[in-house]
Amino acid sequence: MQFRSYRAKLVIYMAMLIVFLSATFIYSYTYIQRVMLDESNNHLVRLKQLLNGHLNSERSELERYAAIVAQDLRVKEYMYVITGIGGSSEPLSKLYEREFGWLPIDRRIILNGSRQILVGRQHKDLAAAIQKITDISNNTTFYYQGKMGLEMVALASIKYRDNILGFVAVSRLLNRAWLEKKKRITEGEFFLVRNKQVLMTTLSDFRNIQFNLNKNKLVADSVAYRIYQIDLPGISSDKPELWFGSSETEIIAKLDKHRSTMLGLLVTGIIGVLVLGLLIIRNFSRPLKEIRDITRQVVAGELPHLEKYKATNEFEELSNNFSDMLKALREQQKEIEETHRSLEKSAITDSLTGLYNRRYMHDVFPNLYATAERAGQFLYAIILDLDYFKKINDRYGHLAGDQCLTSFSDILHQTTRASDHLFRLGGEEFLILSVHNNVIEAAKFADKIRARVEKTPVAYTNIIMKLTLSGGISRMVHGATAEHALKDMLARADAALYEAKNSGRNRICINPDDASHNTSMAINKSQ
Amino acid sequence: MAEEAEHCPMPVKADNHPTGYITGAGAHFSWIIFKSMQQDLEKAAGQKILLYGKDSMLGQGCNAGIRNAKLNGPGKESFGFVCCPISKAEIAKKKIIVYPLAEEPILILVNQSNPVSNLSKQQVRDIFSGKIKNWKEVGGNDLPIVVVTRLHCKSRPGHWKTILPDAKDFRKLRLNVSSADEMVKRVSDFEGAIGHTGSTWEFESGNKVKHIKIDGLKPTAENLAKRKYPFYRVLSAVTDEHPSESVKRLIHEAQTGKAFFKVARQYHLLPLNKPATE
Repeated sequence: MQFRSYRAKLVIYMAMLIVFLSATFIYSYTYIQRVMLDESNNHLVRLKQLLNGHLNSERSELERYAAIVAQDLRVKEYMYVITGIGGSSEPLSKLYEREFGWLPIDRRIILNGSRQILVGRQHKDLAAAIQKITDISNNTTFYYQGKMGLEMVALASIKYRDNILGFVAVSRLLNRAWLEKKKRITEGEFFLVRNKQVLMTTLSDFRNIQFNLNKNKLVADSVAYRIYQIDLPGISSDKPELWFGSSETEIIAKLDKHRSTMLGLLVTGIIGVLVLGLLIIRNFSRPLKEIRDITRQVVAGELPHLEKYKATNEFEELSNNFSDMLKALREQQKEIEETHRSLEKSAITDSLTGLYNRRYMHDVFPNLYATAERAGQFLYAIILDLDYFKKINDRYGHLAGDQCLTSFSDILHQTTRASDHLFRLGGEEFLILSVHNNVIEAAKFADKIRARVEKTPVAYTNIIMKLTLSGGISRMVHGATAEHALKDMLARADAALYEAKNSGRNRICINPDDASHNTSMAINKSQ
Repeated sequence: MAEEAEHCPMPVKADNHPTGYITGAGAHFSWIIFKSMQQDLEKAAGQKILLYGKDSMLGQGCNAGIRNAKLNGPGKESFGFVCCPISKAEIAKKKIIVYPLAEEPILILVNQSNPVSNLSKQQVRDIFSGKIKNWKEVGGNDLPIVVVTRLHCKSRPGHWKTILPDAKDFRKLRLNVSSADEMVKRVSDFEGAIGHTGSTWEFESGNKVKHIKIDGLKPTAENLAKRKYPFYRVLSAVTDEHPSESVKRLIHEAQTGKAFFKVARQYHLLPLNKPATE
């Protein structure tokens, strides 16, 4: 498995988080943009429906006003009489003003059956427009662009017993005030257009606006409008068109503001993630790195010292615990080493005298042998045995015997050189492996020890014991193996010791094989 | 345009009839009389009187007067008043009692701007029948005559029938209205208009009408009494066949009381009963 550091993972996680945040931002922005634009379009469609509803409502209202006049019995009577007797139409004007003057309309006109004006002679343009209508047997409503501007005109016939006596037309101006009123309802802009020229609009300045549409969009004064045409059925071929629009620029500005806000949040989020990541790396990595380095040293067999923290978090506590663990391991290791040394020492020494034992003799002899071989020296084995030691044990007890042994080992330590090797071979028998120039020198060395023992009584409680010892000396034979040389040398020293014992004790004998090289001699107390 | 349908007042319902009062309802022209002398009538009857004829939906018409009279009963005494003569056949059929009050002259109205102020009885009838169609034919301006009529209570004798006996005798090209108010407005509107209404009608300041003399005679009680003014009608009270004593006293006071004669003088009415003696 490929190793990835904690830092690398953290960086990857942060990168993933940043990618996630960015993706969320992009998705959210595009979604909101789509929703807002869709909703804006839907809103415009609804507004268009609302405006058409308003126009239909106004149209119905205007038609109702026309019907109120046209269906009034008095109007019919007046029309009947006026047309019948050919009198003045002034009574009809009076009747209209008295009975219908309250109607909230801008222009009204009453025509006779021949479409001659009876009431409203000042509105000849409207009458002319009505005269152009080929079929007005049924009531109708149309939009008319006259000298006063665009008008919604409701035309109703005045009938009596299926005879058309005349017509009444009432109109409402769709002027700037009307557009402004609609603007207050829809919060959009209106454009009254003819031949791509804006005749009137709710915009404050429209003189330079060219009504060029591009996919339902109009740009005026650097503002983009999504616009829809409001249906205006009418009789004039050159009647203007009414368009309603809502500013997309405003929506886009809102989107931009929203995007800026979201972008700010995104940047803040990314910075937050980075700062958080850096803090995590800084706060977690240092203790982790220390622990990792320490563990590597531990694996390598070291138990280094680890500084402790003033623990404020889990990592520092872990590091402190690890420091304590190392300390404990160090102490434990020290104890083990001491124990090991003690065990090692006890394995090669005699516990009573502190001298090396026989086992160590076998261990160390090859080195001594090799050294002597390389140096061309003579290595001598001096076996020393306390005389009548068994009797001391029997007479004074083993403790007294042990006292004799320790006293003897002290004398050995005092009388031998540092280069000499002292062994207790067992019981009261000891061995000295030492280098001498010749056997005489070795014999003198051994006899000095014997003399010292003889002169040194051993005190045990209130008992004073005098000791003597016997010794045998042999020289290592070169050319054999170390094991064979040791065995041979010990056998020959032991034979010399046997000779010393048999010769009356308290003396040193040299193995005859070794004595022949220089002089064959036995050193005893008498010599 | 002739409107042939008779004006039908709102029906009076027994369930809505107020109790504890004497209720009177009917034609506007008679209502003027009763309203003017209400205090005297209440004194005579010894009861409060509720009158409907102008401002109420209960009044407005002779038929409403007859219907209200038929609603009479214990605790809800009532009577009616009409502006047209009631025939004997109708009296018998509807089982009512008619109490004539006064003759009312019918004014012939023209527009205020019309210079004509006098017409003969025959000229009036020729105008209403359509034989005369322009005012210049009777000494006026060259102006088409617009005939305005209110041909109500067609089955009853008298009233507008003193001008022409039958509705079909009137000019067909005319304005026929359903109320005196409309009559006055039409005559005000048309400069060449001619119409008719009772003398008790109270004109308003904005009305541009005037009444003319007939054969040089004004529409007065004196000229009616002398049978020289030709156009008139009879104003009456009506009850069912069993009016209460208080209603009888009330109607008697209306026929003969001082207040009535005062009202009659005010509106040029010709009383049909002698005043009560002290």
